Formats: sequence, C-alpha cells, structure tokens
Amino acid sequence: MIADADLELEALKVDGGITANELCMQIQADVLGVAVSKPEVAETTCLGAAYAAGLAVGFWSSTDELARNWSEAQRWEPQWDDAQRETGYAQWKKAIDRTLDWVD
Amino acid sequence: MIFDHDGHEVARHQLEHEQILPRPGWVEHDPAEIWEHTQTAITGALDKAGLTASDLAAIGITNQRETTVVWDRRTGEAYTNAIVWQDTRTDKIAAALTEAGHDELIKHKAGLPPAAYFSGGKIQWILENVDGVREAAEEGHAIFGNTDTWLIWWLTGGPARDGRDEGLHVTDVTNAGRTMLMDLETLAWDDELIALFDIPKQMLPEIRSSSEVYRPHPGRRPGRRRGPGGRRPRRPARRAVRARRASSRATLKNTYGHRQLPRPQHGHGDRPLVQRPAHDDGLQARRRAGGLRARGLDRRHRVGDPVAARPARRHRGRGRDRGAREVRRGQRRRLVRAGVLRAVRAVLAPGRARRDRRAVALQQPSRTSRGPRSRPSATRARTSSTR
Repeated sequence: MIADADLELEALKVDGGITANELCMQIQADVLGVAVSKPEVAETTCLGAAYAAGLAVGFWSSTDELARNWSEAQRWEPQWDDAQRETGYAQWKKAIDRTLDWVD
Repeated sequence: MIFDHDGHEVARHQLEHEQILPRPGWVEHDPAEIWEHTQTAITGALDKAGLTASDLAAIGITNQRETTVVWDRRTGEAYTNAIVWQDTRTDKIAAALTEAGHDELIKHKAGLPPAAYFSGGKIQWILENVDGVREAAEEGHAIFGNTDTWLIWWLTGGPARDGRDEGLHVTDVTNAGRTMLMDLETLAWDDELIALFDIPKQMLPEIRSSSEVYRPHPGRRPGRRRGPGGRRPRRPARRAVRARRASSRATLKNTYGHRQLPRPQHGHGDRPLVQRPAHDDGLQARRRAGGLRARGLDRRHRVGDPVAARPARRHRGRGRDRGAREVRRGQRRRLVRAGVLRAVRAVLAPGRARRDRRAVALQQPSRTSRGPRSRPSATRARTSSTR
C-alpha cells in the first residue's frame, strides 16, 4: 500500500478489541518499524457510524469539526533496529514457505 | 453506542449473536435474533445513559457486508438463515462464472473478482435452493438485503400493518458495491450483472448514499410524520476510515477484530481521504488509491476465513435448544409488555437535531461466543474466532 500510494508511512492507527493487547501492538510497531497509535475511542467503527448519521442531520457541521474530536490514548514506538526486523521478516517468510503444499 | 457532541462515549450495550455452522464451509446467522438484539441494545444503551429516545439526534448503522438475507415483506420472516460473508457454499457458482468467461465483465463493472464472498451468488443460491423463494421474488414478496437493509427495513416499520407504511427497502453504495451486482460507474444495479445470477430485479433494495436521512420516522402514532431520523449503514472498516481523520502526513489504520483490512489514509496536506458524506462513498477514492481491488486484495482476504473451514464441534441436545429459544421469546414478551419495544420505535422519531442531543450508532452484534445448539438437520457450533 505504501508503494501504491507513494508515501512515507508515519504511523499506524489502530482500533478494535485486540488493541487492548499490549504485546500484540508492540509487535506490530516492531515489525512495521513505525509507531502504532490508538485513539481515545477505540470503537472507531461505531463512532464512524454515529458521525455519518450526525453529519446528515446537521448535528455536526463538517468533517473538520469531527477531526478536532480525535485524540490519542496510547502510542507504541518500534523498539527493534533494522537488522532485527530484516532477520525476523526473513524467518517469517521461511515459516510461510514451510506451511505450503500440504494438499495435493 | 451513544456518543455526545465531542465524540465521547456516553453509553454502550453489547450483545453477541450466534454463529451457526450447519456443515463445513457454511456460516449462518439468525436474522430474527439480530433484529431482537438490536432492539435490546438500543434500549439497553438508553437506559444506562439515563436518556430517552427524544435525546437522540440520529441513528447510524454499521454492519457486516455481503451477508445475505432474503425475507417475506408481508410478514418480516426470513425464508432461511442469513448466509454470512464467510460462507463458501457458493464456490461453485463463482467458479462457473469464471468458467463461462464472465470474469472480465464482473471485474470491469463491479470491480470484484467472482468469489463466494459476495452477495450475488448467495442470493442465487437461496433462489435455487429454498422452496418457493423464486416464485415469491417474482411476485414481489421476497426481498433481499444485507444486514443494513434488514435492520433499516425493521427500524422504519417492518411489514405494513394497521394502515402504516411498510419499512424502507434501501441500502447504501458501500453495501451494494459488495454484491457483484452494482456498476461502480453508475452506482446502480446493473441489468447485465443481475442476469448472470438470474435475480429478479424487484427484490433488490434501492441504492442510496451512506450519509443521508433515509426516511423521517412515522413516530409513535400511525401516519404521523415527525422530524428526521438519520440512519446510514456503512461497513465497519470503511466507516472507521471516515471516523479517523488522516493527519497531515500519511497514516494507516487497521481495525482489529474483524477481517484485517488496512485502509490507506493518504490525505495530502490536511485533506482527509473521505471529505464529506460522499456519494461515491470512498469507492472512487479507493480506486484512486491504486486499484487495490484490482490487485486481488479482496480475494486474498477470503483465504483468511478460519471459521468457514472449521468443522462443527461440541454438540448439545435439542431440549436446550428449545430452552434458549423460549428464553428469547419470553424476553421479547416482557419487553413488549413493558412498552420498551414501543420506545424503540420512538427512537426513530427524533426532533430536529440540537446541540444537546446525542448521536447513537448501532453496531451489528458481534459473533457469538454463546453456547452451541444442535438441530436435527444442522449442528450448531461454538466459535470464538474473530474475523
């Protein structure tokens, strides 16, 4: 996706139940090499539904107004260096290879 | 969940619903249970917040797309359980389309590769395999919807009765865009695509945008029209993009808990990816983002459906099955007696939006972790897997 969009990735914003798992979020940051950021309202999906509804009836006037509501609750910074990341990724790919071709 | 004007959570009420796995590869939901739980969740959240229906400015819906319900508009009864997005029973329908050389047409018009995932084949399966549905559809009685359409139809009235209009049969572009039946250019049902699945067109809902007032609710008294009841369905992941604003530089968001679907938020400058309740609702933006769909991302996600491939496990007797159903019926009766169900209808009759009112969002109940049940013809199993 980064290649498609031709952009640097600054942070990965996350939501949903698993964001409660510190280890999982830290691994995500380490593997990606970018910070992982969690908003105050982790139920982003629901909030989005409310925003779409509220915009339609004028409860909120614009998406700019909604953007001002956003705030970060927690952030995980990557703790691996590049070498660690590359080794890990190579191992991962190897592991994937080992799982293939079970069914003839 | 109920939110205030600052986007803070006011209250929430959550219920899980059952994942029904009649055989390997099949995944179903009970549409009646989803509607019952929706009502309970609304009243539950209002109770917890100490609010009444008139405190609400609008209602929004987010749902699991692709999941297919076909029901009788005269009674509100589904002809069969909802076929869930994960369900792979329509593999052969998808493969036949490919064999017949329709891949390019479907990809070009609908932007999707033929796959069991999408609603078109699921509708066709129900038409071909459930007795009487095709006839009923041709006569205009059997109608189709994803879960958004099912809930809006009920929330706006359900079946016509006592001189009251029938509920609204509508969907939004983000749901329609996952059926293989909508032309991405026109954002309308496409006759050529519909013909591939042999679907009577009159059973399809009207396609609307994702953020608009669909119908002012008739209110407590029959025939009486009151203020706007905004309600819009969107897919969770895509809606989350809306809710999360791209910062000045590139960010990516990932929703954990359903399918892992990273969405780019590559607003240049301070422009969000989706700027307003867009009529194309991100579909165009998504294509601009580099033809993700064309690169087969959708298909790849399908591979990660662990539940679909999991055989049913853990059995329970029929007696318990009846018991659970009885409990649900009893709960409903109590709600009706207490006037709570009437209050739910009133939720949809909010007056004009005011600053002090709250916006509420309904999220389709998540998968069940409740006990399994078994039926003579179908084993119901428990799963705690996430999408």
